[in-house]
Amino acid sequence: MNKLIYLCTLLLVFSCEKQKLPELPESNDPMFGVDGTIDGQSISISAGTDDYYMQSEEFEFNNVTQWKGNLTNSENQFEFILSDGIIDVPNSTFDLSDVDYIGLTEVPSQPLLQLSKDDLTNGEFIQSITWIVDGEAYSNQGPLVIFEPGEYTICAEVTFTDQTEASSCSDVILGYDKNAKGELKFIVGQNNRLLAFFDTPEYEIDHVEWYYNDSLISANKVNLSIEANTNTFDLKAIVHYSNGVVRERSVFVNKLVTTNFIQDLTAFENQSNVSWDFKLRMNIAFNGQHYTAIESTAQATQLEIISISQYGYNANGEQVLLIKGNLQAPFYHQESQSEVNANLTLSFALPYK
Amino acid sequence: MSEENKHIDELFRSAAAQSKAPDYNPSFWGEMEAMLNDSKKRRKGLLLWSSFGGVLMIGLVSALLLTLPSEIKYSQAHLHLEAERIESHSNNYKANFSSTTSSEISNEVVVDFKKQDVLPLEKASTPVNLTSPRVAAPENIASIESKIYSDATLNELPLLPNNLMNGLKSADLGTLIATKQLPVTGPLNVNIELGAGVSQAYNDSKTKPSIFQAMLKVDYKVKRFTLSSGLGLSVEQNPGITVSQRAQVFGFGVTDFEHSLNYKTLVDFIVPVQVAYQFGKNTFGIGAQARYLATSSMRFESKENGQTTMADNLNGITTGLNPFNIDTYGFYERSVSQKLSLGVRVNKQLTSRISNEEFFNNLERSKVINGQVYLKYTLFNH
Repeated sequence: MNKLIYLCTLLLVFSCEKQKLPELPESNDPMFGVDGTIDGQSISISAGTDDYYMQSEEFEFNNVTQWKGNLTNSENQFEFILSDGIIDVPNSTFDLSDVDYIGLTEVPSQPLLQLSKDDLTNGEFIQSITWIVDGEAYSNQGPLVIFEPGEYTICAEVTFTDQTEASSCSDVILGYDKNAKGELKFIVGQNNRLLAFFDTPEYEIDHVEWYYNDSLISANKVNLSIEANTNTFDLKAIVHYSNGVVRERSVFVNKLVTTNFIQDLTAFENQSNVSWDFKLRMNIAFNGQHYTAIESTAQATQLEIISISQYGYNANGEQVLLIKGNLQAPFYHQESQSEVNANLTLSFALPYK
Repeated sequence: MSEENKHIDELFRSAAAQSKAPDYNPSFWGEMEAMLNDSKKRRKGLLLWSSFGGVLMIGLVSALLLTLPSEIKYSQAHLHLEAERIESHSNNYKANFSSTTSSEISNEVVVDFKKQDVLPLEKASTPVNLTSPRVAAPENIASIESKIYSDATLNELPLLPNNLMNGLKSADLGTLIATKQLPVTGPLNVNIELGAGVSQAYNDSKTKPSIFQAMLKVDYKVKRFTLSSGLGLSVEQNPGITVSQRAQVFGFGVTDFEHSLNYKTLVDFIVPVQVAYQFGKNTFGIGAQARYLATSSMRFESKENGQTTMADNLNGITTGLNPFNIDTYGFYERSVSQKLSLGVRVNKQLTSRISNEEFFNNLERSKVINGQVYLKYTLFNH
């Protein structure tokens, strides 16, 4: 009997399965915030206090990837946007953690592209041009004007003076670095011989995919020499430069009326030196005042990086960097249309790839 | 007075009238001295043994429980007590019970002894066996000195060793003394207690806290005082303990995490040490007990920003509680029968169950009082 009691007791005690509590996350200090002054106003905010929340997302701006961190509540907003760079090199990578400074930029006040029929080499033979930008007709009268950096597909629907029509599309990079340059040029010679080539030998070309009316006719020649068997045709070259740049350049050719052509529009993408490659744009709305970062080229007015580290994943499942830095730079104060000084310590999130 | 006692009274009356005094054998006292010397050494051992903690003692007693044969044995301590009793009587009364008279007063037996007849005892050559019946001095061999023995005090009459009995002439035995087969009662009792009761809640709620307790105790009686210790198991249900652990994690915003532990059952091992005073059938006492929280069952709830993200019933977790606690208690017992007692106990915690290191709570009490009614059953005496 006594042994039975013992056994029952032991069974009672040890039969209780011991389970583990789920671990509770550790408390921490705010991760994202802005401290300092702007235009004499003291700022000290952080995500998680006063309803401030750090929103981060990746988005496309004129076909170029942007990464945004937005520290905001219902009243105020601190927006940080980093632009992609090296966009003419497919699948390029850039280790942001290696940088010590990130330059500030802004939407240019001067156009990055301004293009009319008169800018074309055969403009005198062109009656009108309808511009199609990224599939949408450019409605403004006059020249095509683009202020915002981006990679645009620009199509020119041309009506020549002889009332013939033609169109050609090119991918044009505006406001970002072009790491290889070169305009597709062509010559229609005797016996309908077509020569196509690039006029910038300083950028070494690895190979070119040549398309004749969208049909691949050559994949390994840099220059093209063929007999054109149609009176008009589209000639497209996908150029693979040795430095990794891949660009698409197109022309429209009329071998019978040689003046009725549409030249390579990428020739016009270098009208501005503006580069948003890995530049940061900042927009601040604080206490009813609005401030925008100003393009800065001097290191002293760039964001000095304290640290860049992996933070985690945002609500969209994107990996997020925690970027900490100091900034002493002028900002444009929209209400007074004047420059004001800002001295800020920033901790913000960017879902940089 | 019980039927058995009436029979003993009858025996005493007839024995006192008929029996003769036994012959004295001086060797008996020598044998008794040897036995006493041996028992003194064992008494030291017992004291040393008592100084160890309750756990150790209980372990050994429990082991004893498991290994002890069913028949009754006499411990050395018992031998010692009986020997002391005999010695005490021998110093006051003559063993050569020459002439006795007795008178019966109501249901009591009066036995007188002549002090001048006391003779010294000599050492016995054979070991003493105290399993012999308890012997009351017969009236024809003990001189009467107006000493009144009630039924209760019969238990205090000396036990005569078997060899002492054997020393008596067989002829005398027939006419000897009234004998009584008294229950053998030693200083050690092994009891089992089963109790149930109600408790204060740590936090006032609709749940009604209850407590159940089972305990194996060993009593050591010294006159009217009893020192007890043992090992028990306590099950406390619905104690009303809810402790929480919270974390504020900043990230893109802030997330308030909360783990809430609502204990439903607490199971403690308990080691009590108590002292009691017996007055007739009533026993009063106080004690203290160490508790070790062995296991529990609880309702676990995890919340993020106030929204429950996980809830589960968990076992075996004692987080947020102190594993060791000390209680104190007072109790009252009343014997219902020779082996069964009914008692009440009021228990007050001296230390708090709640650990405030990592978990916080809004409990209204950190120490509670509980009251229990319990039954105590004596498994055996030793």
